[in-house]
Amino acid sequence: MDERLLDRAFTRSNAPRWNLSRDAFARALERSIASRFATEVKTPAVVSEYVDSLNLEELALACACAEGQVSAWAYFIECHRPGLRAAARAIAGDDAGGELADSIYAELYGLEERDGRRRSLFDYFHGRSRLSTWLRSILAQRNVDLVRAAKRTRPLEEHDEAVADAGAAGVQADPERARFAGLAQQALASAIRQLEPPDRLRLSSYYLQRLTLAQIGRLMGEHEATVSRKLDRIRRGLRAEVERLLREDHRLGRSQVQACLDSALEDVGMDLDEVLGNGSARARGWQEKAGGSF
Amino acid sequence: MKPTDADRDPAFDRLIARGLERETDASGNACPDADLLAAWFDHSLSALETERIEAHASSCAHCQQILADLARSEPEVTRAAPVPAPARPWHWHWRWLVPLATAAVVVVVGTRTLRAPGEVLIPASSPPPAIGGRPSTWVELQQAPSPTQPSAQGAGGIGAQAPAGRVARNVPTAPVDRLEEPKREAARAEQKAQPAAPNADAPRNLAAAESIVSAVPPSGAAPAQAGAARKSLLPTAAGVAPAKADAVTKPVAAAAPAPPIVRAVDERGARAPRYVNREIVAPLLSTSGTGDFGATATWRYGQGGVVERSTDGGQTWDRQASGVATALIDGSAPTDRVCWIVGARGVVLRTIDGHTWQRLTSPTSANLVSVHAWSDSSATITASDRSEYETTDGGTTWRKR
Repeated sequence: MDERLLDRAFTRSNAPRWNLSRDAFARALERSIASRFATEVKTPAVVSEYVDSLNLEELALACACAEGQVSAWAYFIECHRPGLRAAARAIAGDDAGGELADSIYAELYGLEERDGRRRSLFDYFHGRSRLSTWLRSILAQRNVDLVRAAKRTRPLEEHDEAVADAGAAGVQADPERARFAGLAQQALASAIRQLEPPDRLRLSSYYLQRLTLAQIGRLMGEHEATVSRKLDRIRRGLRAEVERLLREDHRLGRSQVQACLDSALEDVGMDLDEVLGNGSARARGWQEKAGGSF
Repeated sequence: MKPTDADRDPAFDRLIARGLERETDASGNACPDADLLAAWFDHSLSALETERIEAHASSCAHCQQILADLARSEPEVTRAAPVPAPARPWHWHWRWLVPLATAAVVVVVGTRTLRAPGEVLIPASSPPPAIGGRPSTWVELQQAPSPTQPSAQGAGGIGAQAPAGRVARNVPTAPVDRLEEPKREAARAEQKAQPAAPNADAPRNLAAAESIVSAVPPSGAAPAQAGAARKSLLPTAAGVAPAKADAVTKPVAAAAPAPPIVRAVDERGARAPRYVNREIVAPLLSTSGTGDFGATATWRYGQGGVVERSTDGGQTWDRQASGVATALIDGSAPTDRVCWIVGARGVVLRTIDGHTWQRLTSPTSANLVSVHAWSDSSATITASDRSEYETTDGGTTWRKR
């Protein structure tokens, strides 16, 4: 790495505050640069711009914690512990939140050794985000892993089997309804695939993740009123596209289009995938909020 | 067939949600690491990287969940129950601008040219007095106080929401300030955590109560009613002593029936079984009854005609015989004994004693997607074809609206 760039970054990072050596900071910076430009060509100018954009102070703090500097840990605990616990409670609930927050301290300190050096989770912080955001991201990742692991071992409930039977019977009873439902689902899937990724993310955040407009706005960097308008536009576009596909691709009339949508809705209540265990909290989520409309 | 405002129905929302779920990859393969997702959340990635992350996350359940958790745990964003987008589209505002502008021009021109000394001229073409009123029947329906659907609060959606969180940018600041920022965040988090400390059970219960209270229609419904519901729920959920609960609920009993509240089930699905579509909480109207009616009643219902009732805040559930096997879609509980539930193929169910369900004559065989009940005799139901029916005699006769 360019020495002048390193000097500048080291000065800006205030690393001496944590008794962090220049070499240790340089290693952290190298890791960050390697991570950023793993698949892209790097020129000195681009690297310099990248380094200037980093949260260098927090990178130095994380690096010092990884090195086991006591003053850095004291500062980290004082500043980030309450936020970490609050975030864990928001993510995993009040009961599991404390446990989740506590569980990552061992990883942050680094209990495993590699090449004679402790491998701390802090090594994976590259200064591209705020340290607090990165910590919450780690918590969220751990929590999703836990939920997925728990889901894999959850037994089917007796009632679900009964509902599965009822659902199967309903589907077999009326082949025309099943065909209509299939057409509607096919058209909807096609329309969803045509959405721009940000629009699809907005829609998923609202319908599947059940975020508030303010939260979606925070995600997308928009005001909630903008989110509201965009969701409305996307939804109308989806409906128009579904109806167009049913009309033009399948030559259906207006009443048949409505019948398709009705049949698909009816299927929602007896979806075998969900009943057999593939359904998730997300599936339930939209059902609870589905009473609302834009 | 151009979509219109009237095309907006809950049924299509359900289909969108299911379609999205089917089109989302749950494998969690090739996901970006926590560092990249955090940087995307902080809007500090390059345009190319941002595009890549969005392209992946838009179809990845794993990443969507992480990003959602990031948004939920953001200290600046107030936690609240999902609030819908507005029922009143923005173009309604613009439509009113035309008559408003016309009226303004007429008034200005008229007063300047035609007004005699001391005479007031009222233009014949002035717009209706209720400029801020509801512009159409459809919007009126969407904005009416909705007992079971807080998300149908229409234009209240935006205005009633918590202020938008600050959009954090990766803007370089003075070194000392940036390092002090976590301290300030920590102090805010500490402050938030303080009231929950005395009682170990209180945080969860309070959070549950908060989620219930936050689902109270933010506008449209009478504030007093919302307040009554709030009072009736909080003591029960927070585990306050019975004497206190009585003290709080007595004034509620004298008040007008509060609208029931849709309770959000835990995001992880920890609270409700998979067959449950929805929970509704009836407001506590009276403590004079015997048996289990001294507590707020909660019903939940869902696939296969399942109906369950809880009187202990969702700790235990009693399965009730609904007499049907179809999917139950929406419900409305005006009191702790009266509940209406509708479902697929025109099913309308009602209980007036909190236990026994009766299938009522239905005016339609279409799927019913919504019910608003005001008492044991009055209710309005909506079918998937957007037709609405009203009864005032307990379902004996229905009138199309």
